[in-house]
Amino acid sequence: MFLYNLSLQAPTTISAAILGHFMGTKQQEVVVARQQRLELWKADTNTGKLSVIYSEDLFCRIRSIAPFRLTGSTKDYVVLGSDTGAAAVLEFDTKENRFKTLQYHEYGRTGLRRIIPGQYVASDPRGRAVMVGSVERARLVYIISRDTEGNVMMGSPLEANKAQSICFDIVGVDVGYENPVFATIETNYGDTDHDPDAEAEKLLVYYELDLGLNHVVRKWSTPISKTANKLIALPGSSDGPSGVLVCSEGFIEYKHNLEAAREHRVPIPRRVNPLEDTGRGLMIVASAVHRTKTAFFILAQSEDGDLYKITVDFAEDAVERLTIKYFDTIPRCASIGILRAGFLFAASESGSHQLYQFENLGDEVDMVEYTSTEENDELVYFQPHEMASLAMVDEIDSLCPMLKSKVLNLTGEQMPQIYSLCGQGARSSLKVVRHGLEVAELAVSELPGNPQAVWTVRRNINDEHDEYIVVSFLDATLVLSVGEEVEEVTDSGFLTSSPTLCLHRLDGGALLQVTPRAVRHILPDGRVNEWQPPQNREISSSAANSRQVVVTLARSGGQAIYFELDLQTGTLREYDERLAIGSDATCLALSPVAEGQRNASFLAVGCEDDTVRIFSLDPQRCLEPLSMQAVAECAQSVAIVSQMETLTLYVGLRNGLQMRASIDDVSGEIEDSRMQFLGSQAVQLCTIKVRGEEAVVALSTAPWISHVHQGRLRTTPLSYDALTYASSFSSDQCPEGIVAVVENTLRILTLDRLDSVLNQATIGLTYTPRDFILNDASKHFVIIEAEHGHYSATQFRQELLARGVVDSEEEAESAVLPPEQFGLVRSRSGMWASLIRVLNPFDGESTQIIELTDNQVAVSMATVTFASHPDEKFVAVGCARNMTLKPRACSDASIRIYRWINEGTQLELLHATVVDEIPQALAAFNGMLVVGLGRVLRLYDLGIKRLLKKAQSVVAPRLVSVIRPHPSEPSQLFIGDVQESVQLVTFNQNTHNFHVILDDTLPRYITCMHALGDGDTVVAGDKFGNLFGVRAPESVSRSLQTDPTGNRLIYEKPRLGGAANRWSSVVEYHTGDIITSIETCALAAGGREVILYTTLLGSVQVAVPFVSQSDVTLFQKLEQLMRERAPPISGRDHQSYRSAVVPVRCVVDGDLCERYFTLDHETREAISDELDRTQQDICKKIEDMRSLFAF
Amino acid sequence: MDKFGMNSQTEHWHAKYVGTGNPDISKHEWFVNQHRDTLAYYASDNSLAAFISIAEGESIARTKYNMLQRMQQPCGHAPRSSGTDS
Repeated sequence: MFLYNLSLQAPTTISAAILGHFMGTKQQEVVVARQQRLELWKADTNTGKLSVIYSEDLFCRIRSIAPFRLTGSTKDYVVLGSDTGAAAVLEFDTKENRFKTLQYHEYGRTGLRRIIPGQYVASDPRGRAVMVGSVERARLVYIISRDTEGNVMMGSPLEANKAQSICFDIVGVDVGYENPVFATIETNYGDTDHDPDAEAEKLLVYYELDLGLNHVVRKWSTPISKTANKLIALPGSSDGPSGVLVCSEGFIEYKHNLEAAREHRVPIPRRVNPLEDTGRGLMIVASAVHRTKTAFFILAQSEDGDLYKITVDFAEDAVERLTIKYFDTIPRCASIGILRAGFLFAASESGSHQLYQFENLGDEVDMVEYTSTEENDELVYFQPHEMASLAMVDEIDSLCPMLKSKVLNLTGEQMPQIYSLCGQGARSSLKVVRHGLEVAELAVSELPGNPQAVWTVRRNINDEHDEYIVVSFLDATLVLSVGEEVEEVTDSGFLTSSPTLCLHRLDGGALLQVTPRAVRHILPDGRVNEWQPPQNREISSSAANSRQVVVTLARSGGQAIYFELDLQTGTLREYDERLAIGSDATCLALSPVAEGQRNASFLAVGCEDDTVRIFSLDPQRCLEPLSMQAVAECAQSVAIVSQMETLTLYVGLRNGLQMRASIDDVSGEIEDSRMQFLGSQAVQLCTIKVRGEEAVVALSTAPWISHVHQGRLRTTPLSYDALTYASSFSSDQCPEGIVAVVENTLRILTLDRLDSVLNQATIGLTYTPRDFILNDASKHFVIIEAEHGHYSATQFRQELLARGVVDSEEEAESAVLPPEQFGLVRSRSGMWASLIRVLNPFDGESTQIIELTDNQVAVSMATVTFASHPDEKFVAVGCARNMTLKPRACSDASIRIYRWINEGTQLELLHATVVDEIPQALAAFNGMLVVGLGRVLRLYDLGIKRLLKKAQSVVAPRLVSVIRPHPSEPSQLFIGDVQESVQLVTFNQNTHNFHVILDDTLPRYITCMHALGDGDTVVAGDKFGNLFGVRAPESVSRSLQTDPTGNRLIYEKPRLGGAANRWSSVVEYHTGDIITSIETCALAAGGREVILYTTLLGSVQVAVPFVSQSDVTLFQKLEQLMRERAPPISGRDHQSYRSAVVPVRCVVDGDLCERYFTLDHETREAISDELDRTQQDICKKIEDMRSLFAF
Repeated sequence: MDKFGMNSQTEHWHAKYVGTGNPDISKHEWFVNQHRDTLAYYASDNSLAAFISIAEGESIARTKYNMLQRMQQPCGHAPRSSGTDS
């Protein structure tokens, strides 16, 4: 097995976000770190929409980022802390539109290690130095300056190490232009390691970089609270008092090393909650400092999601007062940032990321303030309110955290959908993920009939917006004017009593309308010049641009008439010769007019005889045939656009295929053609503009769009209804949109989000989902949800009543805050809120919710058919009561068996069977239910009152976490151990025992696995982000074929404390993120099966098995060359990254290979030369790997 | 000084790499070192930190903080008897 790994969706999490002027303009941008990707986003300050400018895969783990601006410069750089064992300064190059490494300095080994810096990066606010810190001991300070040529230079690292100290946070203190100072929170374990009576203390330490002596000194340290976790640097010099705020559990302190600086302390207000655990301090998780010319304030977010506004009153370097006040509540964030234009960027920890607009600064809202000058209680409270100061303006979908997924095709679409359990706590959801760009619908209006086509037209080339929308019906034409409102007009000069074939603006303010009976040239003054075809002949198809018009006549054996606009007379002049195509034409297209030229140089004609022909329109060789290409079916529609500086020919065929090829701009030869199946209907092509560039919309059973995205040509479906016809649209309200006709409606659509080719529909859930199964017949999901350490709404109400806080049920009801905004109410560790839900994924309706009471939690589930009831499917749910996570234990556990009632829309409890351990894994096996209880595998059959135990064996070294049945052998199963990898287990009917046949040589912490169809191979993911495949050795495989129960194998002598035989590893690959689900499925229509897996931080990837050895060799070579010639800008060695845990084996990284498209011409040429192929060849190979197997 | 310069090399390792063992290492010391390595990894790896936070129902920031906090004394107080196995 040799795999080609491709990302369908990069991780959607944001672990860190920073603001700055990364493009060097006045506009602020956001740089976000998404596991291994670095992205540059901009927020449109008018519309409040976020969009991605650039996204780059760094092939390393990004751990921290910081903005850095050299003194006197106007452009920010990004300082990157990663697992590369190096400090890197990246710049966004606006010319080449990509990130570039400015400076790079290696200091240690790669990987996530305790003493190798990279965990924290902090920059001096005045842009002179950066500090890179590790979790323990090491801290390096780099001086950054410009050399004489103006290049950014990074000095040698200066060590500021402190042995046996653990670092919690690092910030650069704003000290103006004095020596740069960095503040850290650290604890020292030197004493406590040796002296059992020693008390550890936490310190705030200032490290000063002495620029004169070029070394770093530990300048000052002061003891702080033992719960301190975060530092916020305050503006200094003339803008503020300098110093830092130390956030600890429950309060925030101001500290600074100046003599004059007095300490200030404010408590963090807590939500009013009568049931709160006062022993648990409130923690600040994210913060942002907003500076204006005259003042500054800080927004800090607590774990509950509450934002606090902290203001600092100061006079001449001395802080006089800290004030804290509740501001608003938004979902809990990993990072927040305040844009100067009045927006708050919130990178959510769970679910979609958001952009909020400030409506006020919280001054108008009457909330209690707490100040450091007054005596405050240790615990102070506030009552949260609905959003008062912020309004959400944009949301960016995120799948993170993605806990479980299934690839299913429930709706019978062309492509299967991915159903994913996502989110945590109150932000949990079931997401239906589809391949396709998200389409926003701006307007829908009804039309008097079913139109055939729609165009937009403007009178002059310089007009900003369209003037008319023209809709053509079977026997009429409707003209609408574009303005404040879209309404019908009659004085446009267009003929409305006949259908329209083609419509275009002509130079000189004229318009062109082609109807079956005439070519109508509508002059600016309203006069109409008409050309009419000969008697009994109709125009069958036509194409036009602002100077040229071509029409063909129906049933004429391919007669075409060519007109050119005569600029002097302002009339259309028929060309002397008629073009004889040779076969009846079905469709026409003119090539776009190249810059600096007047006329289009090519005409493409789709013919009845299953060919596409190219003719020259060059004045020297006018109407001369240039090339011809045979196609599989008659062409329905053709289009020529200029994409990526080449002429691209699109042909939509009647059998639903789309052909794309390039046209040589000198010879007119059709080259490099490729096919794609779009749907079962004939493909109609329409050209539109996307982000100012030409794009083609192909309409079949679904609409598709082919456009250039980040330097690459991409064909993606639009997640929308099938369209009849589409055109570009531009108006005041919608600068770049699409006008389309669907049945009897006219619709205006826009494509807002081009960066993600997957779109999601979200169905909200109550608690963190753990697992789900599908009822095949009723297409309903059963989902188990469980939340640790939180109250369910019912528990909370009951608790309030029981403690006498409220008197009635209604009062208790009103005390529950809406969890969508405020999250769930925290209870104690060891408390669970859990439920079983039956959900209809089509309308998002929960048909049944079974709340588990008595502190029970659902941990596992499976669909089972028992041999005694072969026609009925049962749902088994493993539950535990009073479950604790550390240590893993419960007071008692049970397996509940439910049967489906009401046509598979509800569950009914049949019985619950008590078991002695947490049933972590359940699976159907051999007409019975197999349960993983700790190390034990137990087999149950269905009884009337309870489950009946049939067999039990100890199989797993630690704990059975996953059970998967063998795809074909009923007596075999695969077991995933929580630490000890995968095992093949057989069941012996006679002795009623499970036997381990195969186990693994490596300890692997299995999270999910999937048995491939051959029955010998298992692919699985582990907790350290590896994808791996193991296969049964040939001898075992052969033996099991003849004897599936493994009777001979089980008597072999155990080897090295395990089974007699071991798996052999066939595939190893480090994905960099925990894999949560693996499945095999076919993604493309008619495509072969691929391995699809989803990861925790929201990425969707596929591993495509190679078919031919020659492809393997080619891609291996290509990967190797890409590693050498275009290494990732993070400086991480690609091979060592993919081998971070286990050396990579038999997997080619497709994401690296696809970077080939983005390389410059010379590098591409060099690589293709070494591979002995042409560039087009390699591009085609790489594209095919994606388009044939995935998308 | 031994023939191969072994001592000077191990001294160098001790200085350079935290947790380099010695023949007389106690069980407690060994455990503490193992735990610190593991905890530091949990705090550094975003994916694993998210995994743990979801299991525990905590925020990622809290999980990372807990890991760092536990690095102080991952295996409880140091044993009173020094040098031998605890």
